[in-house]
Amino acid sequence: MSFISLRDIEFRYPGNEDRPAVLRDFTLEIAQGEFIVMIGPSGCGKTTVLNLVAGFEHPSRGMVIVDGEQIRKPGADRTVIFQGDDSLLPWLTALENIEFGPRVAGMSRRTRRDLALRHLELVGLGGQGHKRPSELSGGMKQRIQLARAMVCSSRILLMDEPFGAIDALTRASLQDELAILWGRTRSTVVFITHDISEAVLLADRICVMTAGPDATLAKVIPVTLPRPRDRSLPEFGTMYGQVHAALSSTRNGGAPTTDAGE
Amino acid sequence: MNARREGAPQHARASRRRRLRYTLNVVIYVISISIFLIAWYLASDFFAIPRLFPSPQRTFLTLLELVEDGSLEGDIAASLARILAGFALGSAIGIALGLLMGSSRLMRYALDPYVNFLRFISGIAWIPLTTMWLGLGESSKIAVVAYVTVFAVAINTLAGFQAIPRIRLRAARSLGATRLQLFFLVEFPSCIDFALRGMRLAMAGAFLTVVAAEMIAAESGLGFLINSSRQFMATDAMFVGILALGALGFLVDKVFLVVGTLTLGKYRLGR
Repeated sequence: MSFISLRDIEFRYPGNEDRPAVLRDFTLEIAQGEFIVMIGPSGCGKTTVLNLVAGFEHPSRGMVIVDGEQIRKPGADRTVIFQGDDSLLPWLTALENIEFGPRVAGMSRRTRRDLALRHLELVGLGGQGHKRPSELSGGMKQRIQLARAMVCSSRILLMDEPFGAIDALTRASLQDELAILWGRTRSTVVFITHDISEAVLLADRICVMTAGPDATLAKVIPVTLPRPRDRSLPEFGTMYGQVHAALSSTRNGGAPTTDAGE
Repeated sequence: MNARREGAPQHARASRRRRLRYTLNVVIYVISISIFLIAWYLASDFFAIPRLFPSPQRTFLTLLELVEDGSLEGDIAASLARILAGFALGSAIGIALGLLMGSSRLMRYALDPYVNFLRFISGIAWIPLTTMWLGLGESSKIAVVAYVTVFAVAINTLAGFQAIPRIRLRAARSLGATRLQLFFLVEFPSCIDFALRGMRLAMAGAFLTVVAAEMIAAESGLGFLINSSRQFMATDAMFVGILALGALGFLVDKVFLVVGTLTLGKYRLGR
């Protein structure tokens, strides 16, 4: 049995019952320790899939099951990393932000401080713990978010275009570091992006989605390139081309939609 | 790397520039006030009847007199005490109301008609009633000042609640925060900046209201000073009262800003 399973999901926003669904007939099984990247045209419901697993939204039909249990609400076993820095608490220092999860879990002051310091080092921000988010760069803030999520040692990390607003150079190094950290922890990751090379670099499987409404999975592409991956290898380029082709076909209306018949 | 090496001198230059800008602000302040005093002097000396429009010198002498016999200090203290008591009470109720309306949909819709009905009724309109209900003592004035403070603070606190970025709440919940933890660790601190801004606005309302209350029913306070001076045609004393009100408001606001920024600055007031 798979670790995360999304079965026959249909999703409409409450009150929008007569409008086309955001997601329809969406089924995906994810194994424990797998790195899944969701990619697709904007507005295709990638974020909705992530919100369903996080427990922020609930499917109108179908079920989201994690480790045998149906998801009904958010929980620290599925921490989320968002794009942008609005999710950090601006009045807390970097270190205090990282401590948030352990703090609400009731961990003692000293233990959680030690843990947070260790994770601060882990994301390469040792010595910057006293700074507030407004004093940190975009890349640093995403590192804080990463540390804040990892400190909870949750089995599932949900990442919603975490590097989308970061400059290209910083983004590349964040991607490499994420690959290394993931290699160490092997938590299950659902990662959303619209950046193909990011997808090829990180994913075990790339899930290409069709354009919404009534979005669903167009194609699942396994990435078998050995890790650590090198962006300059020809195999990387071939893989990139393959994903690009799959993505373009969804945009040209090549993907089947069930909208017309109903 | 480069940026970090250049950091120190850049910092020094920035702080020097900030100090220069501060000095410049003070100079602008002084010039602006001087222009006002000169215009006042010219207006009173050449155009107006001195008895109806006292000059700056006359007003200043009256100010000294009133300070000397202790009546101005007494009036200022009386007004300030009413303002601060009513303001503190009203702010506490306003923040509680705003938080309640922010965190509960039921409360928001249950209280919204009252807040948006009452806030258009001036505190002054209630003064005849409050003096009948609470007597001529301090409590009737404090109640009216509290009343006008509540709405500005409540509405701003609620606005703060509604301005919380959704991903901030979602992130906290996905990190395991319970409903109660979400309120105390995320929602409430997120509202502090808005609540303080609301309090600054409310302070002006408190000043307006206390003067009206003191004109209608009081034996002390700046409003009483201004109103009672009418009987003696003491326009110079009225000027003193009016200037004292403005100066007091200006000072109280600055103190509020400085103390607020020093104690709660990480929630962002005055930055």
